[in-house]
Amino acid sequence: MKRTHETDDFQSDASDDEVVSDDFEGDDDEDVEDDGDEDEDDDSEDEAQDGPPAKAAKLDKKLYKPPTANELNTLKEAESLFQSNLFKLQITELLTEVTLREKRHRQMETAVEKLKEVLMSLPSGSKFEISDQKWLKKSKVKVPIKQVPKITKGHFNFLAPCSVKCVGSFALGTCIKPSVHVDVLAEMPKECLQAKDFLNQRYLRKRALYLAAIATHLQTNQLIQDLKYSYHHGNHLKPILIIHVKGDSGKPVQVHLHISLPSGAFKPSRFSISQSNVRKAWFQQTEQEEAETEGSDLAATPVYNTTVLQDMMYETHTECLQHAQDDTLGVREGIMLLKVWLRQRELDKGYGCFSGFIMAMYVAHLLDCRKLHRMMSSYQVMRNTLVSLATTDWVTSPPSMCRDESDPQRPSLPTFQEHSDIVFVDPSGYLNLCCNLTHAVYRRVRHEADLAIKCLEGTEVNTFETLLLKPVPFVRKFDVCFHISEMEDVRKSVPKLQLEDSLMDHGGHYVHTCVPTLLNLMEKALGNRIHLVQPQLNACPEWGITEKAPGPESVGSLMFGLLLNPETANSIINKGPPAQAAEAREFRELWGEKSELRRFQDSSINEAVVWMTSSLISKRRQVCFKVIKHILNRHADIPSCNVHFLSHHLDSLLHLPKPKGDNSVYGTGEEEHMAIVQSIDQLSKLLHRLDGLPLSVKSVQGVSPVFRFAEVFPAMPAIPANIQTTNASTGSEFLPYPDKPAPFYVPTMTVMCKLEGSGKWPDDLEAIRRLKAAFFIQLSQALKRKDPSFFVKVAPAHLDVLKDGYVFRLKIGNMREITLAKMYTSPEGTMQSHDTEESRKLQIEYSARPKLTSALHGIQQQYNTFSGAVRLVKRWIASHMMLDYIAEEAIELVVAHCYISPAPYTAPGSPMVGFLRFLSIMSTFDWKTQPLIINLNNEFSKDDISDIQKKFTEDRSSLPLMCICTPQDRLVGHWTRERPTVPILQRLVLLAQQSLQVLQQQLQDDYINADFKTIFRPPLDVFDLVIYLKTKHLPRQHQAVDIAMATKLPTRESENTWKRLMPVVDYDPVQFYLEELRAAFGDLALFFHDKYGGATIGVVWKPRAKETRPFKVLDVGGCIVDSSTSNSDDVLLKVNMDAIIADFEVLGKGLVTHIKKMKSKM
Amino acid sequence: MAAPDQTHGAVTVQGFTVVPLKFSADKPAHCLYLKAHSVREKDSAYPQYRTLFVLNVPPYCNEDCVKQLFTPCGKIAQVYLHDKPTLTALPSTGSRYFPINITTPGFKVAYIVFKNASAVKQACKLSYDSPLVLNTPEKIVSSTGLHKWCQQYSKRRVDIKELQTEIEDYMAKFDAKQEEEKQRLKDQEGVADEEGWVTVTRVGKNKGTPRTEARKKHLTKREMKRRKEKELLNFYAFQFKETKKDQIAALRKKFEEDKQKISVMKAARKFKPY
Repeated sequence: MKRTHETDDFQSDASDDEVVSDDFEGDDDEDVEDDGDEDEDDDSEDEAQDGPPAKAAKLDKKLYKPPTANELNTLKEAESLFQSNLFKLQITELLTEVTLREKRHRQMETAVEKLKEVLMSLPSGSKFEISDQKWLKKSKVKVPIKQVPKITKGHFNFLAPCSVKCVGSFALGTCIKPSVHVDVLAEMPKECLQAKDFLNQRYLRKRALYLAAIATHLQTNQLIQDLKYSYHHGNHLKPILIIHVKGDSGKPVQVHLHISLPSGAFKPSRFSISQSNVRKAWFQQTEQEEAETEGSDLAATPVYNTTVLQDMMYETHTECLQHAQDDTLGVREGIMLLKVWLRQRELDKGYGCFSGFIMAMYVAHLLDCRKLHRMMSSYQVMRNTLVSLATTDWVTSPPSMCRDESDPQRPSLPTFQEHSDIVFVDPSGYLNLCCNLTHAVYRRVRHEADLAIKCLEGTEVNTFETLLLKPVPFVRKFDVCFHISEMEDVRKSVPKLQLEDSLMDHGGHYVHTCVPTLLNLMEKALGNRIHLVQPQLNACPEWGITEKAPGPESVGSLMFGLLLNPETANSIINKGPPAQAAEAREFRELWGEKSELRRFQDSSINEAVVWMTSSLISKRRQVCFKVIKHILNRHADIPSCNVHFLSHHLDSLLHLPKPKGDNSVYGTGEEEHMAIVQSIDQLSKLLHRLDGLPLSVKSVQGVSPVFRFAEVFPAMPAIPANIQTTNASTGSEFLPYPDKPAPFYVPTMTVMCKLEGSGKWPDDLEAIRRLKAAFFIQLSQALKRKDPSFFVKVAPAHLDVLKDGYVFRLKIGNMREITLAKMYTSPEGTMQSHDTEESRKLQIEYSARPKLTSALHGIQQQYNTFSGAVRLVKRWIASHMMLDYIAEEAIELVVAHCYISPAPYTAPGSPMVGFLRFLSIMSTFDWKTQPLIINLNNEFSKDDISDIQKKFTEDRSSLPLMCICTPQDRLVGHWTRERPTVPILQRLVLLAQQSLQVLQQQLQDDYINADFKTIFRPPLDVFDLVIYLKTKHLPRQHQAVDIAMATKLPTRESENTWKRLMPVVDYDPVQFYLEELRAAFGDLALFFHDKYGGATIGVVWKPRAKETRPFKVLDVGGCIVDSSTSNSDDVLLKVNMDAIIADFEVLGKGLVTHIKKMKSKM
Repeated sequence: MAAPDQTHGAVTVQGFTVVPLKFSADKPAHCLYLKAHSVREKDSAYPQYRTLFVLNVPPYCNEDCVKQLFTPCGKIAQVYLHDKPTLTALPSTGSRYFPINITTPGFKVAYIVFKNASAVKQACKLSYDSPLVLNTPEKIVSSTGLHKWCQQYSKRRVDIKELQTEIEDYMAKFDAKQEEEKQRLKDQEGVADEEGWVTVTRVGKNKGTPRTEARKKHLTKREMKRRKEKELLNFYAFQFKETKKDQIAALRKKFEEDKQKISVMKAARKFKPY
């Protein structure tokens, strides 16, 4: 209960807060009781009289009653057939969520029945030439296919379909919600066809006309609510009609109308994969149509053939699937789970997708070859299918469902492979089910299956959630995304890529023609720099029946994603074969003029391509961009300016501007971190070797964020004192001066030293404090002895050392202090230890933080983008002025979580994607019901994790709001015990949701003009007051998100200057000001500020500040008598707002320019 | 008598005189609440009749400011500023380098000890209409903002010699005290008090086990272990039966727990996959 009342509150959302804070107390007990009651109803009556007090005993009785055989079975089945009981229950829940309700199913069936009747009784039309489409004019219905080039021969007459059937997932019962549609197949009567229809798209054109004719008839039908066209899986040769049939209840039923060929209309061998059925002369309209020169004209048309063939095979495929899942609930449910899995990964829609149909066929195939069994549970079906997907390679050993070897005309597997990337032959033996599937997409599917299996086998928590409930959007999956913005470029690249034949095969769709080739090209160029490259699969558009069919020009842009191989992605050189080798020619051909001969360190002379000479990490991350731009330009004539890379757009937020004339380089700060770490290593060696100390230094460990590579703007070698004044009396130290602009900020970096053990430390904290100070004096003298030029500054609690221009703050940690702080003597005289405020603080400082620092440092060693991601996140939180209200360590750990347990993704390969995933975790994680378990160094075992979860549910109410568990910190909550509070966390979640949405939108669509800093600019109207600060007194103004032209930028002084002088350290007037404000008015208001150069402080009153209160000696701070209460007996006080606002100004004298009351709040 | 009207002289609220205080003449006023200090527990630091108890001292006031404000009422002997009311005066804030009992810069309470009792009465008669003003353009008493922070920064510099001597003094005193304590315990060793009880101390021959929590835990643990070793498991038929029953119960319990988890997840609408 406590938490609600103490909540610091944004009163803007005051009412919402109430609700949520209630939530956080967890009223789940109630639900539980309800469940219990229901169960009792079917229990024996005698127990019913017991009433609530005997409840516990009753529960026990229920647990111990003799089991029935049935119950035993279900209990044991859960463990053997499913991964765990919980998993089984979750599957059941998910399935009920995605399956159609019985009632809706019936509704849809009746609607389809009605539609069937209508279709079957359509009146016949008269005969027209194909080219003559005047009969459509009246109804304004357009033909849903691109009629280029024109067809001159052949005629079309509409006859009602000879049969209308339900096929596909609805008929099989494997459809998943939402957006359920019924696939209906209308068979075009034989009479509509002519002998030569197989040639030159004539059948396809007729098919489209047939759809148009049906659309014309249905247009006026009462039963129909809406008619739309679309392409089947984005295949523009194959339009479908989407019919919204009015249902019994308001919701219309969506029907996808496909057209099929009657059996025996054409011989299947006619459409065998290597046959040529489109004539070049016709396609290119070269006039000499009559005098066909055979031979040269006969390029195979695999895509066209497959498209037609599919129309002939619908029924056999449906039968095959029907047969596979006859009476086997397990298989059917397994297929549904797999479909959910595909859909979450956005793999099941668009052109060239791995559709649910392919998946179902694969399951049928696995049943066929006995890898699956009909008796298997849904979990087993899913798991085994995924295992098969992950372990078999369709490229080297393509699956085939064709058992019948007798037909000699059937193409062989090698023939199939010659014509398509991926092969999966259907039962008829003629059709490749994966004809449109690119190699890249297939690899993605395998990769995902592999991840899924690892996830199921690993110690990961919530495997079910990661596998089936979490969406995996494209921009968050891939480390690097880029767009090709101009489709015109793609069209022009066709001749360059020598794809004319293929273009004809694809019926002129140059995008579909080029993408596979471009992908192969990129794969080849990037080699082992990447794991995956994939085009984004876009859902195919729907359009009205009176609009023209969209062609390739309607594809706005092509988006590709790269999954980087962190070890090799950034290498700046491509080493080729030796100069004389045969492959050298090929290498030169690939890279063109970029390739040059280079002599390597092992004295070999090889072909090589050097991409850049910069060693900055931020620059090296862009090597892949360069490679792709070059290769696309060279081989496909796509100009570099139309290839847009996006993942480095946030780098500017970590970049520091430099004044003119400064030649040093600053990328995104990784190098500066490295320099500091090196410097501290040297200092540590020096300290180890010091002699003449009473106790030697045993270990030196940095604890500031900079040592975890997590400081947004790491310290620079002493930023000079150009505007500071020296104090004459000290001579060697700079001091700030109130009338001058603030000196540039120089942070100190805390370093914890441990001394060798000694029994002589006193049993008194005050005495230890003195002794530590004495030790600092000795240490400073020892350092001076070693090197007189060393600049050190002694303080009672620490020692500042100036080294390489950095200021390190040495502190001594003694574990004994923690014990002493905990100790107290109980009334009976025993010594007891319990946590106190002080002991917790010491525990964090001496033990938790050093451990965390080394663990996170390890993560950075493992994943070099961690630093960038964590700093972007911090920058983002800081820019929304919230960094003071949440522990930095907590943020770092959440980001670390994205790296350690990345499932369902892989560890982020760019700072941007790390940032995106943080936002997504922040916006979706359910802190109320789950601890965030961060398995640093894999120290948790499976038991540990379940143990933690159990404890978590038991003591939820006493644990911090954000529960972050690491092996060092189980459920102690070092970092989140006090911060954040409910409203802060809520606001953070809200901001994360919004920012994520905006950023994804920018990456996806608005990538050319987007201002990526948008999400880093805080709205000021949420505050009650805004305090504006004088920029000249802001020591970090050059770090702001947007800096003014006039802002002074720090220059680096020559080494001599800083060697002699101690700069002004840790001097940030705004921080002093905030400290005073929070100490003085912390119980009345919250103060928000962006410490990285923010020039404003946002103030939000707590609800308390607006309430009146009775006069109490302990509670009069800042109050005056409320004159509106005239009753003399109970005097009420109210907060003296005006005086307090004036106090804000008084306390910040010299720093504050003005205070503005925000209108929206008054 | 709650609503202070403009016309009155001294205004009181529940025994406290309300006196407005301004940082400077042009700023809005805070209200000080004054009262003669009188409590049952007497403390020598706050002599009765001469001590004025002041509530709601604004954050920018330090001891000097308070002195400055109330000197017109009478000569001041001592000013104590605390975060909240205390019965006894806290020890002084320690040395320059090792401060203790630091007050936070919030609203404070002040105990002003005057030299004469009449000054307290004088103060309680202060008028509501004429607010006290801390800073006049001629004389700035309280330093805030940049000036203060710069001063603080310079003040933090340490004179090493001074620090060294302070530490040595303190440690000498500390050691002496420790030695004294040890001696005292030694003297007590084996000496019975008037009822004949002998206190066991940490020095001397017969020390006994230390009375700590850890020790106690260790003892109970050992006892438990010893007891467990003696117990017979799965010896009688009923024990077998019971283990089996327990297993089934455990399975059921887990099942129930999982069901609960699911219902919680369901409530959170977790199963809406898209």
